[in-house]
Amino acid sequence: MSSAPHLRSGWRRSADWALRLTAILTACTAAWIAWTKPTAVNGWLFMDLGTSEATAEWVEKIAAVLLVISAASLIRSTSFLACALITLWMLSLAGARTLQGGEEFSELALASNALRYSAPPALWLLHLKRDRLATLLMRLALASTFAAHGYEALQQHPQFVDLVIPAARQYLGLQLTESEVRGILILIGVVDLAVAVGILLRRSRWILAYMAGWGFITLLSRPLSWGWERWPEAAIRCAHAGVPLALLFYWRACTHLQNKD
Amino acid sequence: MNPKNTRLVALLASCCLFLITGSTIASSGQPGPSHCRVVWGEDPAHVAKISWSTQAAGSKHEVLLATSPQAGDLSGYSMRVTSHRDGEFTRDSRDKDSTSPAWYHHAEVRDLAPSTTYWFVIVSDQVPSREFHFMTGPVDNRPFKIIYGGDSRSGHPARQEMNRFMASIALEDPDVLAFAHGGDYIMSGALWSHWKAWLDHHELSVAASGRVLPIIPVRGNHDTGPLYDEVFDRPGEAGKNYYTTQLGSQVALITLNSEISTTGDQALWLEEQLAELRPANRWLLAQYHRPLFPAVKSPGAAKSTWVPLFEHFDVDLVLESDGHVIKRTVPIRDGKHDPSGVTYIGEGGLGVPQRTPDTKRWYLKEPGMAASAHHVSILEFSDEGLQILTVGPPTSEGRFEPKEFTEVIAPQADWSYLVGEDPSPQWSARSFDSSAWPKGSAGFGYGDDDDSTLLDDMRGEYSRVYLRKSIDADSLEGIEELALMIRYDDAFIAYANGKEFSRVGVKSGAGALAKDIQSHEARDRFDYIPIPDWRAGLEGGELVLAIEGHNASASSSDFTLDLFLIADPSNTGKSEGAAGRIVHDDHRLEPRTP
Repeated sequence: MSSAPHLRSGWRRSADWALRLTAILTACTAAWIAWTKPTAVNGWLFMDLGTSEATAEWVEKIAAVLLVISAASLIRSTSFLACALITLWMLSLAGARTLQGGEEFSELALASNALRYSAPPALWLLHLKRDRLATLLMRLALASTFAAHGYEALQQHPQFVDLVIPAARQYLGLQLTESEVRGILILIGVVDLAVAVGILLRRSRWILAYMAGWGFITLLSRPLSWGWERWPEAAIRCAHAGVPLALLFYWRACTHLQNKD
Repeated sequence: MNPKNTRLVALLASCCLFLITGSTIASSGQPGPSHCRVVWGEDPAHVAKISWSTQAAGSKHEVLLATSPQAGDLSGYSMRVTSHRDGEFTRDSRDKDSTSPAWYHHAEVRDLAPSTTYWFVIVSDQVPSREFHFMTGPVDNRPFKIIYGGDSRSGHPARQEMNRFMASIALEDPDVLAFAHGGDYIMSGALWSHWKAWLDHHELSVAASGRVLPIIPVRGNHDTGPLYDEVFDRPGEAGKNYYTTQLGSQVALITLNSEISTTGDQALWLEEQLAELRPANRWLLAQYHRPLFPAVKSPGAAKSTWVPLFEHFDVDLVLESDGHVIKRTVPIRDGKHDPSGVTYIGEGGLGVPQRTPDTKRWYLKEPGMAASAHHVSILEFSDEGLQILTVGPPTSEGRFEPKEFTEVIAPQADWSYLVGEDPSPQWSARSFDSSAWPKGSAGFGYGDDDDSTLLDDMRGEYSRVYLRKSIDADSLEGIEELALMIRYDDAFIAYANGKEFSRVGVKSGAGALAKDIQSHEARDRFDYIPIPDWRAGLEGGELVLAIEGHNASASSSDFTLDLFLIADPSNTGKSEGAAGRIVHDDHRLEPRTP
């Protein structure tokens, strides 16, 4: 796999920092959630495997501490262990959601959460200068997350309806009916699927810009629609905007280099 | 007719009778309807749905009703209602290998008289059930009670215990009319095996007298898929599952669905309902699954939409589930404690392992409360107030332990057993011949010094042990309840006359096809497993118990299967009620001033 040791620019550093901040914020939010509320891993251990509640909570507490240490270490340097721990926990959460069920489309959790657990390894690969592998991983994760959310939108995920109606009423002054929102969801689903395919086929900065913008809007819609006490649900999705932004910066760095050449 | 012709006619008649009877039994699989349940919707004073299951499609399914007990004499019932919806329960690919097909039947009984006890028998292809009864809702302002509880998706022994506890309430308290279930009946809503186990266990909630508490169902987050509507016959319309139940002239219970959009059509409907119902009812309640003021988790997405509506229309009490704790909030308005606010109770204790509530949350502090125990809440409505009594069964470590009982099969009794090979699939049926099996004294096992019949060749060789024992029906006369007492390591499936009544630690399948055996160490005490509807198969003159014990691995270091059978267990003595109860919370809401 080729690397790009010569690719030194402000844009590349921006890409690195976008991924780094994404991984740090993801880890800190995951730690907060694990420390304060039962996670899917807790539910799986306690309800499905029959471990004691105390054991399940200890697993979460240990994970929370390790996540905070990992996040702190990423501020100073890119450590394999830190990236691996964050990835492992985010993968565990997605896996536990799939195994435990009890949520709409929980069977798609590994696909829809791909960005959350792919940002740390992408950062590590960039650090190793395995740029092609890093960008491939980011593109695959973007495609997976947008395709899964696009499918859920086409299937009229009830949570999506409940994100659009209050936000439209509160911030745009629009009284949308449920059937109108369902129509909008079809459009959103089609666009999500189109950009998911597009990011695999083309190195398009427009697609990335759309993904970053849409990712930011959708993560912000949680606290906007459901109240600011739901801020962790927005923060845990920071990779939805952070990863496309990182990739956008990286491709800008490539363009910058080509222009210089 | 000469004697020769008479014998010929008798022979032909016998053959015809044999063929007719045989074909009836063959077409119905296991004869007789099972899983009887009554479901209430909008107008429980006049309408009730009676639902049940059969193991074959059958051709004629009906309910016979009367306003007095008929002791099963089919000619004595004055009303006859044919099922309006029948079909095969949906089984997905994960279910098909491990379960048999089964069929649902729903009969909607209309034009009932209010506050009247109806005695009924279900008849599927001429095979009748036992006689059940239920009481219709009132239309006037008389005091009455309902039970509220939720979350029965796991913890099956505790789930059975809670059902038996509700049966004891139904037996002792005629003022309790119905049972509102807050959802999460089962772990995976798409699996028929999970629903079948729930329906099997639900039979334990039928009182010994045959009294059935009608269910007012809520859809929970684990109750996804079509089976919920197949089990309860589309309460509040398929796909929506929200509706209002008018209980008497002064109580309205709004059932909401927190698993679909909560802000769209449902919110508009809720606002209309509240505006219409508030002026007409002294007590206005709402129930749904995901809590908006949770004791453990994060609030549901409906909070920003439903809470302002509840507060605007002065809802008195909201019933929530999902958290697996006991909670009662302080009255809440505008995000703070306000005596004029809305009280929320919950959050699910019908069998699921109980969590530890976060008692630091402001809405759970005094005079609110939170605790951790299996429970139901008995809501008593009257002009004077709404009494909320949250109770649980008498337990030790959360489990029913009978103190007084009659031994039907004594500890260390001899059982026929089979090891090292698997019997034919019909081995649990009464007709199976196990006379060639060796006999041994309970318990069976190795490796832990607690076994009477030592299976010292089991380790590394085989992982399943099959036990059978028959009991003469005459010896069961006068007995109301039968229960298996069992110690096990690692798992078992228990059958009564071929019908599975308990499965612990075996996720799916049976015998050699059993899958996902979970490890479990035998405890010092016996677990209590009630046998639901055990009288149903006694026509043949005996009750055959069959138990298959499973080790998680053939190389396991130990195995235990120790059991005996008891009748009419009680914990605190009949003088304090069949099962007794522990009071976790006793709170009164005063009527709002107009």
